[in-house]
Order: sequence, then C-alpha cells, then structure tokens
Amino acid sequence: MRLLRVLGPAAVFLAALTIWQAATAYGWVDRLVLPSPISVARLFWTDPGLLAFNAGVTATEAIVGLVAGNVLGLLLAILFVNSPISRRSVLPVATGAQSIPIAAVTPALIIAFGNGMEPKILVTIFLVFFPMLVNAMRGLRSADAEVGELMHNLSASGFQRLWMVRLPAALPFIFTALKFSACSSFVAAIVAEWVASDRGLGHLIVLASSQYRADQVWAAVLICTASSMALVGLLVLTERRAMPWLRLSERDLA
Amino acid sequence: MKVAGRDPRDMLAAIFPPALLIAALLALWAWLSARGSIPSYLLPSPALIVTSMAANGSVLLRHGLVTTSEALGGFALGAVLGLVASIVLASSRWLRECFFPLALASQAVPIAAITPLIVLLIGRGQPAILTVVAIGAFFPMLINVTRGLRAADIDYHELLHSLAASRLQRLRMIELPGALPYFFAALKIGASLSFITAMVGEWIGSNVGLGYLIVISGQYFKIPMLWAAVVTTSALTLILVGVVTLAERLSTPWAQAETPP
Repeated sequence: MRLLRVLGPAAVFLAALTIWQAATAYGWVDRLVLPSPISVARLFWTDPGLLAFNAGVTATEAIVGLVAGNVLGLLLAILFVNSPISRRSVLPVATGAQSIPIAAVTPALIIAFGNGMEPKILVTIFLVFFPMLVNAMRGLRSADAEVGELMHNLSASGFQRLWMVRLPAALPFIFTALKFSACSSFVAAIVAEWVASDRGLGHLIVLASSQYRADQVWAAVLICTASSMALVGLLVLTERRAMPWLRLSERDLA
Repeated sequence: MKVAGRDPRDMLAAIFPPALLIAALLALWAWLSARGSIPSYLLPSPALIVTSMAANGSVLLRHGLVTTSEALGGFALGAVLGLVASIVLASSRWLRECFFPLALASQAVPIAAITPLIVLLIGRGQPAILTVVAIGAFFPMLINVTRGLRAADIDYHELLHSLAASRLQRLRMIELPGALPYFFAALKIGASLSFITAMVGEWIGSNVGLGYLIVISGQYFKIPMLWAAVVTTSALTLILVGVVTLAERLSTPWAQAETPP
C-alpha cells in the first residue's frame, strides 16, 4: 500500500506528461498554443540567463514583501490582542479586509511609486498582512486560560507570558498564515508585474504571450509554481520541527 | 462571540466596535485628503470616489455584469465539478491514492499565475477567465469534500450496514450530511477568491470587465474611476461571501455552536 501511495501519483503525472508530449508531437494541438513539455524543458538549458534574471527580480519582490508583511502582521496582532476593545473592533474589520481585492490597487500604486520594485513589494505586503494579523490574533487568544493563571501566580511578566504561553499556542495559526502567504506572495508579485514593469517573471509572461513564445510563458509559470511550492514545502518542514508536540496527532489524522 | 443572533444586545456588542473603527478610518481618510496629506492621484477622497461611482454608474454596471458572470459562472462550474470528482474519489481507494496527492500539491500552485497559459490555450475573452475561476474553485472543493465524505462516524456506517442500507442511501444519509461543513469551508474559499481571480485574469486576458476597467483607468490617470471599480469589486466579493455564510448557517444549524468566533 505504501508503494501505491508513491507510485500511483507519479504514474498519473507521467501519463499526463506523455499524452501532452504525444499531442504536440503529432500536431493534434498547435505548437503556438501549447508547447511540448520537451521544448519547455529545453528552454531551461538554452536560455538560463533570461529565466534566472527575471526569476531573481520576482523572487526578491515576493520574499521581501512576504517577510515585511508577516512581521508587521504579527507585531500588530501582539499589540492588538492585549486590549479587548481594539481586538473586538480590529478583528472583524481585518477579517473583512481579507476579501477586498488588494491586488486591484496595483495600478494606483504604480502611478504613485513608478514601475520599479516598490509597488510590487507593497502589494505583496498588503496581501500577506491581513491573513497573518487575523490568524495570529486568533492564535494568541487560543492560549489555555489556566496556564495563563498559573503564570500569573508565578508572577510572570507580560513578556514571559507572551513568550512562554501565548506564542507557542499561536504557532499553528501562524504557520497556517505563513503557508497561505508563501503560496500567494509569488503570485502577488507576478500579477503586479503584469500591470507595469520592465523586468521580472510577470513581465516575461506578458512579453512572451504577445510574441506567441508559449514555451517562455510555460517556463515562467513553471518557475513561479515551483518557487511557491518549494517555499510551502520548506514551511511544512519548519512547522514539524517547530512543533514536535503536534506531530503525533497529525499522523493520526492522515 | 456566543451564538450570534439570539440576544439583540449581543448583536449590538458584536457590530458596534468594528463599525466605529470603520467610521473612524473613513473620517481620518477624508480629513487627510481634505488637508492634502494624501495626494489625490494616489488615493482620492471617499466623497470623490462615491461621486465617480454615481457618475459612471452605467459603465460600472456594464463591466460589473461581465465580471460577475465570469466569477459566478466559474465558481458554480468549479464547485459542481469538484463535488462530483470528490464523490468519485471518496468511493475508490485506488483513485484516491493516485489522484489525491496531486490535488493536495495543487494547493501550492498559485491559480492566478496559470491565467496566461489558459489565455494562450483558449484565447482572450470570457471563456478563458471563467475557466481560470473554475479551476480555482475546483481544487479546494475536491480536497475538502473528499475529506468530509470520509469524516462521518464509523458507528453510523455500521448501523446502516446492519439495517441493510444501499450504497446510495449511505451516501445520502451519512456521508453527504457529514461533508456539509467541509463543503461550506471550500465554498467560502472559492467565493472570496472568485472575483479576485476573475479581475486579475481580465488584466491580461480580456478587453471588458472590472479588471480591465481598473487597468485602463490607471493608464489614463482616471484615478477616481479606478477606485470606483475597486470598491465595486470589493462589494461584490463581500456580498458573495455573505450569501455563502448565510447559506451555511441556515443549512448546518448544528455546526454553529462549534464555529470559532
């Protein structure tokens, strides 16, 4: 059964690739519309400089935005969670703000800050900020009240209670937000680049689409997908390391 | 929050603080705009945006209808296909072992990023955008409902087995009701994503719709118009999420007590 678990998905994946390759090789679909997987793979060999340069630009925007937005969200969550009135007013508004299409203000940001990296980083910050704020506030509040009372009896300082009780309790919530934002930060940077830019994977996608270089479009999307998957994977590994006490129950679920 | 909607005073206590915060933020924004601290080419005053919305009502309606049809059509299509696929996956261990890990991996794929590929395949226009929205709604539904269908208590299965229930009866009486909370969780993810995905898709894949309106207004420096379109998209998203949440409360009343605030 364990073998099937690995071989099954791999077989499905390989079959899909084979059908795709056959479809393009026998001319069932136009090569301008759908490039063969081999020609996409070949691009990584023939023109690595182009891909690496643009990927580097987008990765910088995505990762700077990811870190800044999450740090900001976590700090504000720690600030807000200590006062009931700000918590009761901020949490519903922040929850609602998550469904506001923040990416939509990109054109305005580009007018204000030019078409360099800054507006793309700002969009990424906005996008990852609210999920972290909402999740961290929920997590910090989820700490066991009895442990909090114990810490009070031991005359622990506010910082000690935060460090020893609230932050560990909030960790699962924080990782949920991090995994969400790892997936969305690359797409935020790319989508912002669609509006106006002269470099980056989003720029490459728009330029290559207009020239019908479908292989370049596929390669750019592939890099974006692989990067966000790698980031999410890294976070999953870190999550297991950071919260060994959850590993057992997780295994029961799976 | 306790069980919402019983005591009017509880409801007031839940609504009043956030409403006050929003009002304060709006007042601050209007005041800063009036003082000239926020340049109007970046963020016009709220009054200017409202005026622009009123003046361009017909334009917003025309583009809004296009985006709404893409978002709702794609959302419904993706949700229904995801539901059907999850019933198939939940019924066969082999299919589940082969396809479920791939579906899980798709969660790390940023769906909006595949818009250019779909646009190349199908061509610019509404069908391409609708397809992207449908893909975005499909995978959360597939993953959640496949889990939900298997979440029902094994005791119920044994009970229905001893009552000689058919496979269809077990699906209808145990598995589908058990999967409802999972179904609504996926529906909420899809609802909050569908308008954003449609709008972003229109940036590179369409010549009509709110996303197109946003980009074109930005290029012609019609900033109040741009913000009017942003506000419209946000309102449409909030309405859709609200409708899904309401439907969830009405159809799974037993789950309300466990919902975290």
